[in-house]
Amino acid sequence: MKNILVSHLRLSMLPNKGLFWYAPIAAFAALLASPQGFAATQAEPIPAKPDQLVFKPFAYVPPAAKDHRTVLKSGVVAYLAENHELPLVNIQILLKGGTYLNPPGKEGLAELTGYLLARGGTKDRKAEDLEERLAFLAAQLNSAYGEDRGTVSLNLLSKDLDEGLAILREVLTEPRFQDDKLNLRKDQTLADMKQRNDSSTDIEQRERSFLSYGDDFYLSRFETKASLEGLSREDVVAFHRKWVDPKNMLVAAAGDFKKADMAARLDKLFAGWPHKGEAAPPVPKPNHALAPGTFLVDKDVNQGRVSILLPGLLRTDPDFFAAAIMNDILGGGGFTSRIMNRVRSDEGLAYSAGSALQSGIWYPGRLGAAFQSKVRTAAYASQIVIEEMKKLRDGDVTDEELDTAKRSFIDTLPRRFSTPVQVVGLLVDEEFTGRYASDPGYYAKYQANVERVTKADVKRQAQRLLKAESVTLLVVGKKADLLNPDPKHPVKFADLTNGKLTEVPLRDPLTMQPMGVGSAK
Amino acid sequence: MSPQRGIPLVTVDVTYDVGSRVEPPGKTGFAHLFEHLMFEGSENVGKGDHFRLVAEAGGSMNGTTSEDRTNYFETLPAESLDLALFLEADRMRALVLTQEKLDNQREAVKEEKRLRVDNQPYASSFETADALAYDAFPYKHPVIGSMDDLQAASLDDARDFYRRYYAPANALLAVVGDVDPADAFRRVKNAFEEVPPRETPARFAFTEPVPSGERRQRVDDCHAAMPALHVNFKVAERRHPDLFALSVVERILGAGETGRLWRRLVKDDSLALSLSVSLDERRGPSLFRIFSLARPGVTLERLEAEILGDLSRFAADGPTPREMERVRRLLLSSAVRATQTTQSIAFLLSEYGLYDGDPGLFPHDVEAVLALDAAAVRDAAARLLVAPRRSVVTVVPSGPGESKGPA
Repeated sequence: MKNILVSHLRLSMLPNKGLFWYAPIAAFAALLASPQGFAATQAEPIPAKPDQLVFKPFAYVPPAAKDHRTVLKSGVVAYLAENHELPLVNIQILLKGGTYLNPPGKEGLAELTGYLLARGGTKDRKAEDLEERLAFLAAQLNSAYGEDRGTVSLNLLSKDLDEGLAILREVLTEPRFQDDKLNLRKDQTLADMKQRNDSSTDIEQRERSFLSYGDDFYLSRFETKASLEGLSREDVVAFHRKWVDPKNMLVAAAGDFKKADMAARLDKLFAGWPHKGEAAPPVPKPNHALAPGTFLVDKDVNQGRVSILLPGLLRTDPDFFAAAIMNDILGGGGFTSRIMNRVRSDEGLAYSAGSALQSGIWYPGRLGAAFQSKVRTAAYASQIVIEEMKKLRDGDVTDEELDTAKRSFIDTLPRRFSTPVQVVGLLVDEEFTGRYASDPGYYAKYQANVERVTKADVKRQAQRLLKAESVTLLVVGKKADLLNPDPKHPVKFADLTNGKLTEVPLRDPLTMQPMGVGSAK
Repeated sequence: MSPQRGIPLVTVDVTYDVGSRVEPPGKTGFAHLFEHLMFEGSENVGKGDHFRLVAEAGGSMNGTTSEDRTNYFETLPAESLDLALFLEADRMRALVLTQEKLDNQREAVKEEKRLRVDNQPYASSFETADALAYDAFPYKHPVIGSMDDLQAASLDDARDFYRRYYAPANALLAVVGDVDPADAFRRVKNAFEEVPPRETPARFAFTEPVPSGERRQRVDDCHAAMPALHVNFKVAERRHPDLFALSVVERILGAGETGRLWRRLVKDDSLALSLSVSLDERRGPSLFRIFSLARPGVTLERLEAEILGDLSRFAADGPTPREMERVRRLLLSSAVRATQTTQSIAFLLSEYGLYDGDPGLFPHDVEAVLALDAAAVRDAAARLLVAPRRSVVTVVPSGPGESKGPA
């Protein structure tokens, strides 16, 4: 265990002396410590129980936007963090806009454009040459459009920063959207589409969208074979010109650079943009109420996947912290939560079980519990989860539960900021979602806002949100067995939701239209 | 112990020299089931307390079981080091096992198997591929085990397993993070000196017969919509010089969309929808794996012939200088990225320490791979990616909706 490791490292023996960044691995080895010399030290007494261990009082000041935020000449806001430990630079460009920008009938356009930006070549480089050059630099360039945002990220060695930024500029301003790459991506997307009903996980996720937000909301407008086949290179080019514009961009960069130098380089990246785009409109809001009842999708699998849905909150709600702590005690806290304890630890009914309060950035999210249990105990496990909702609403949480939840919120905050990449990532997210403008001290006040939550606050939120008698319950699994429960626990789904059970047909994977009950498994 | 200053976190990892490979027929899935029981309480840590204490400290924790080892780890604020050490020492010294805990965790593990294997497209074909490639039982059976064996596991089995494999000298402790070594060693001594020594099991060993001919099997998969193909080659154990060379082959043929096989079969010639190449490195015989989904209209016979043709060409011509340079850069950047978190460093130290008796071999291995030339890489492909070492599994969709095909 001694530092003999160092002797293995003969830097001069390396095949390429230019690879100076081998140093961090050398540091890894050099820092191995030896127990020799410590073993003789007198041991201190250990307490009998782990709760008696005493730790230093917790004091943490989260990173502040003002230490990282800068407005570039182009108006683009950038968050920058220097870190010289490793010779790496990480740059992320956040793009306002997402799949909600897909015009009706052109579902899949944002996804296709996002995928091809970094992978479809540029005006001066074929896709293959770009890939080859990036691979040669061991640089990672990725791009994608998600539901509410796009991202283009570049991770590379700091010595290659000039070349990397030149490539990034080409990719952002002059993407080639090479035909064969575009067609290949469409083929692959179509192949994935054909597999939409293979896994009950996918079916559950999809139907959860339809139940939560209705058929017309953008999250429920899935791409189809027809919409995909209708996408042309011209559509992709038009989408790019319209939305990939500095007025929709934010930057987070961390790593081995000087802040002022990086700001100057980013000014250059955005200067003289060759197209005139538009500012992305805000994310739409759903206009749909959850319908109480049980919704069953018949799929021939021996494990039922269950989602239990309730209306949630906007994160700007004055009681959001109390609601989040309530959810943590219910099922959000993993192994310390009530749902996990009963469903997994006490009853062995599921491998994972829990609940989540969606963050509600743009519109009120959903409060949902979910687990997977063998088909004949899925109704029984659902009953337990609903029971736990009622218990939390009608009873009280213990001091210990409240304290555990609070400690876990407060003490995990530093981990969310544990690398410079995470620091600028979280801060730029505040800017992107508008909270920097409305509540710039969110993280500074975070600990106090958690500490202030009382048992009465938690109870109020439980009473407000846990309408256990009117849940929307979605279950995917083999219908015959779901409706024929284990005789030891003869629970019926319909009884859990006021008698109402609706069978939801599987959807045709290529059209997303219901296939008619019983026509396919 | 590896002090890593900068971020105020520490990872504690205890890796036990026990994995699914030690399980005899009739007892499959036991190492993993036992991992679940390790979180259910010990003499001074009540049921549920392990999770609560780590959560209150703002930490995260988990355990994983592989064919070759079982590990347990916590990452916490550095000032809470004592908590992780206490939890690990207490369950090493005095785990509390009961019939009720066994029954609950047995059911949870069965649900895990239904979740991860039984109802996932292609998942069971990976079990078949291992069973086909290996002769000896240790690697022939899956880590998750069989439902029958899980059902048959008894409390006596659990107690015996704990006595036998969870002895202190059968474990390795790694502490990585923002700690002062002298102080941290003192704390480790405090926590663990109360754990009495127990008899350590004999070092596990097994042999596989020399590969002697191609093997083939077909799997009908009711959850899959697309036909798929596994082409695997049984090769030497981890850290064998052959494996160093194959790790270069893996990155030239695979490694995302710049890999040779992906480029030709998925992109240029449109024969496959997806293709991945991976080197599954184990303490015993390892597998060089290729897994691919066929494009509609392309038969599995054709896809297999094309893959084998490309392997032959690679074995004849070897890598280009440019490919070698690209792989060296890739290897170095992934080595740097592999040492970026306290947890990943702890895993590297533990596995090298436990398997090889020297926790610091990682840089040595990186260097060994970097030192290979194109001829050595070509030679390894020519000697090892050959018919006698090969096993092929074809996966044929068999679901009720699949024969009709979507409209």
